[in-house]
Amino acid sequence: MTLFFLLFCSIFLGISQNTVFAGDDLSIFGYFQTYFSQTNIKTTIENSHTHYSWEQDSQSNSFLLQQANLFLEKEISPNFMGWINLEFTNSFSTERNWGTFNIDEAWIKYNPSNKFKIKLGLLTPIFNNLNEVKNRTPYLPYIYRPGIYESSLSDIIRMENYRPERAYMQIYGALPAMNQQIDYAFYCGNSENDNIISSSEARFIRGADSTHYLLIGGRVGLRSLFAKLGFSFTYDHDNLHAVGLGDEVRKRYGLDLSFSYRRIDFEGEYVHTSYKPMLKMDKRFYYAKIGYNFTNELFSYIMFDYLNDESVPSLKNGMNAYKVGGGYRFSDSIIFKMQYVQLRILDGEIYLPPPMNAAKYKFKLQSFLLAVSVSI
Amino acid sequence: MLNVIIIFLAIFIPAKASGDEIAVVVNDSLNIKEIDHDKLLDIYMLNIQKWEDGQKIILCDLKNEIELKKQFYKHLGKKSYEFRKIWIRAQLTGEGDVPATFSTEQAMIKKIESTPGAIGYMSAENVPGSAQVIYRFTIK
Repeated sequence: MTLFFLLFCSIFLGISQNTVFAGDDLSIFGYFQTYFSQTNIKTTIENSHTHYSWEQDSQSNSFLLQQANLFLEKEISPNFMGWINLEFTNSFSTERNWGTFNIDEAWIKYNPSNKFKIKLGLLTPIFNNLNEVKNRTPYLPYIYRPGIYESSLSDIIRMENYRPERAYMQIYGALPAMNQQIDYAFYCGNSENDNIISSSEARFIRGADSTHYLLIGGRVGLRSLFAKLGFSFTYDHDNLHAVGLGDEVRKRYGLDLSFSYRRIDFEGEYVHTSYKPMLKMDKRFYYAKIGYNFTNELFSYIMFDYLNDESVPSLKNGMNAYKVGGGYRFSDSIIFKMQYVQLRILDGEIYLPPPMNAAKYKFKLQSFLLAVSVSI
Repeated sequence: MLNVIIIFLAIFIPAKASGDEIAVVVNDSLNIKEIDHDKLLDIYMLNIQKWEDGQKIILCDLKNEIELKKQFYKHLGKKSYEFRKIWIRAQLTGEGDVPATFSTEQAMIKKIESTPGAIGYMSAENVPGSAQVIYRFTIK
């Protein structure tokens, strides 16, 4: 009976595969971005009551392969497509214990038309304008990205509190309406909470997200030839057991606006993450970028971003960043970029062991970066 | 002296002058007689990626930023680098393909004639008799 079942399955699957895998060849492509940076960091801690102060200046010059991504794309049939995105960051080397390797995305898409598509599998959900393309360096004019999208700040900022990083099912599309497109996307996945077990139940499952709450979210937007506007939202639970709370409801709201006029382009976003009012854990982020394209190849921009987190003393009063940069599209595959960044945490607080106790915390980073982004 | 004159003419006389026509050509497997400006724009903005009969749209483009290319995208309403931004975003998110690019109109028409679902643009005067033209406009 078992043999018959296996034989039946193998014949059935064989036929299915022959039918389904009759599409085009596998496409493999990708990109990488490498940069040189000269960075100055100044950190100051002061306590006016105890007259204690500590200051550190540091300077570094470094080359880095910021990231390399490899895409595998296969048109399985006219309406089905498979996609894998492998990401290597920070000069990835297992020998030297450098960087990270991620399966950033692995999904299958059912795509009967632009009006209705479904993605299943590990995917980056649509939230505001940048979330989906935050690490697509050939698309981005900048090197150091707006705060919540800059992975090198992940030691300071818990990115998942501001934007959803992963989802597992997404229904989306674009509906034409009076020479405009109405974009929509709805998705679900796991609540993101650093994969900490989300209850007192001592149960650890290796390689599985241990949250038992769902993330749901979406974006609704309007897109025309020259402008794009959208409203995004998510609803999930944040695991706060570690700080004596429970699984608290977390809502993220986002607004995004992009437009172009002649050779000027603008993009901006606003994000607000809210919890129960009594928790005082709300987080806000916004950025605005104005770019000017001198020619089809030569571009420049200025950018400002700000974020705060009421639950983190050092970020309670915010962190802001000014960025100026530009670049040259040498060819379809090669883009040279340069950028100056000034990032400041002002009037932050930090809690240290006695006798310091609560102290003022200031942080200033200045960086000059040169990069090349190459598509392969 | 002759070289200087040729270089001068190449720089200062546009390849496509006002009054010239640009034609949009598709592979003859498609049963399409004509399309309008909005639909052409939707195709190049990747809002439409399949023809009515279900065939995948294969976009073709010229590699170099010559006058013909500038005029074509100007007619669509955006600069060529803006279209390129749309295509790169689509390609890197699995939502579409960057057009195949060609150094000459002749290479592009060969590809269009041999690829089902292909579409591209060229000077109307260079369109071979066998090609299927679905849209035409005059450079202003």
